[in-house]
Amino acid sequence: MKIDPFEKLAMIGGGVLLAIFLLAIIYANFDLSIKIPTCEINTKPFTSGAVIETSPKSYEVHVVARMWFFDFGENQNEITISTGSRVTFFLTSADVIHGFKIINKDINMMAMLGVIGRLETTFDKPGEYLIVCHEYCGIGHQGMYGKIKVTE
Amino acid sequence: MNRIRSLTLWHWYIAFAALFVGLFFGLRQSIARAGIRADYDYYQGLTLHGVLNALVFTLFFISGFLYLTTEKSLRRPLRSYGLAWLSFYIILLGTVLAAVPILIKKATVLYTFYPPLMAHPSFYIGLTLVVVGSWIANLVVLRTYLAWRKENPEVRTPLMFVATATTYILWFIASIGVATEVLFLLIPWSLGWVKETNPLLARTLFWYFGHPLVYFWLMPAYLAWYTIMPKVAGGKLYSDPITRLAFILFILFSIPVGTHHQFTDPGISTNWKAFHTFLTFLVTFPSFLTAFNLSASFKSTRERAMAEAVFSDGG
Repeated sequence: MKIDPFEKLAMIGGGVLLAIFLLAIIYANFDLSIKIPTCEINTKPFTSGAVIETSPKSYEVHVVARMWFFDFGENQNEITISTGSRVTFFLTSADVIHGFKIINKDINMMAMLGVIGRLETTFDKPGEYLIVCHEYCGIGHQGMYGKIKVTE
Repeated sequence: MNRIRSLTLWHWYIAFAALFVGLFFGLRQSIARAGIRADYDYYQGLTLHGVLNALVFTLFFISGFLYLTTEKSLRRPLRSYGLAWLSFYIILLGTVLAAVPILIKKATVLYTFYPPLMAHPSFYIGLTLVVVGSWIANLVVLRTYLAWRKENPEVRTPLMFVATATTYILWFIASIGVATEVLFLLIPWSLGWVKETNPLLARTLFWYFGHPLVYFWLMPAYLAWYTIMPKVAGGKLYSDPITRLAFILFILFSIPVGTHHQFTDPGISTNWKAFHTFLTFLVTFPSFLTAFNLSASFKSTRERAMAEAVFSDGG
């Protein structure tokens, strides 16, 4: 089949663009280390929230999202940590699907019954970080929030 | 010819009726959000306008349009009109069964209806009927083509029909995902036959359907660009074989792309997410072919028109 030279150029252009996109994904994955939850199989299931200080300035935080509340343990919807703390979030849901997004941080996850999401981040700057639910979860969805207070 | 006219028009009447009901509820949403009327339920509006505008309007509009392009391109009547009307009434019945529980606030689950947010069984049964009805429409188009093929064994399939078939093949493959989700997970669960469901699996099946659904909305536009627009411009399509290639690629690239809607989901490995993202980008390629082909069609049409003008002036 004879292909028109201009058409060939358009096809090559499309191919080159695809190659650039592929490189961009690889770059985002490895160099920018953009974090998204993966398949988590080594964490024991949990049904209530907990804040565990594994070493100074290093935390494991278990969060149970439920209608319409983020439970960090003892029915608290906020935690207080000090600047420079490294936090690994373990997230699950007790009922419907919820979202867990920390405003101005690189944490964005879905909370789902029966599955655990895990992401970690470091809080370098003091302040109050708002956590919002960004997946529709019923009539009280817009009022579902939590807070992370980072002290000096 | 009048039969196809009334079939297509009735599909479009229902499509636009659904669109306007959806728009009306969209308006109520803004009024609720603006704080003018506290009794308007924002999420109910969001559900109804999502289901009606994204699923019902598009399906009715596209079904009517594709019956028309099937008859036009194959130059023979549909096989059969009885089945086509049966499909119409089943989709309509499904729409009503799904819309009523939303209207009485028994199915405020948005058009993504992720479990374990539960709707009234009628909502899920209605959606199933919508999909089953659309499969009957697919069958009508397939049977029409097979009859045409028998009558014209040596003739190449017209491009307009290739585009029509592509649209429906894409829809059929995609709808298997949502049909599986609703039939095997959600209906038994909402009726109380089983106690538990699987939120992650349901979501994965939904997006197996949800992403190619967008291509299903686009394909009729591609059909019009490739087969109607060059004619309207007074010329012809620049490259027929590349167009056929583009349509085949659209089918292939619409299948394994769903998990890029689930980046933030737990339980799916990062590698799968990255792989699906790349596969999603592949659609760039047929889109590029389309952009080239259409521009080239217009350019060659214009060149021919100018050449004719020169000759007629000189003569």
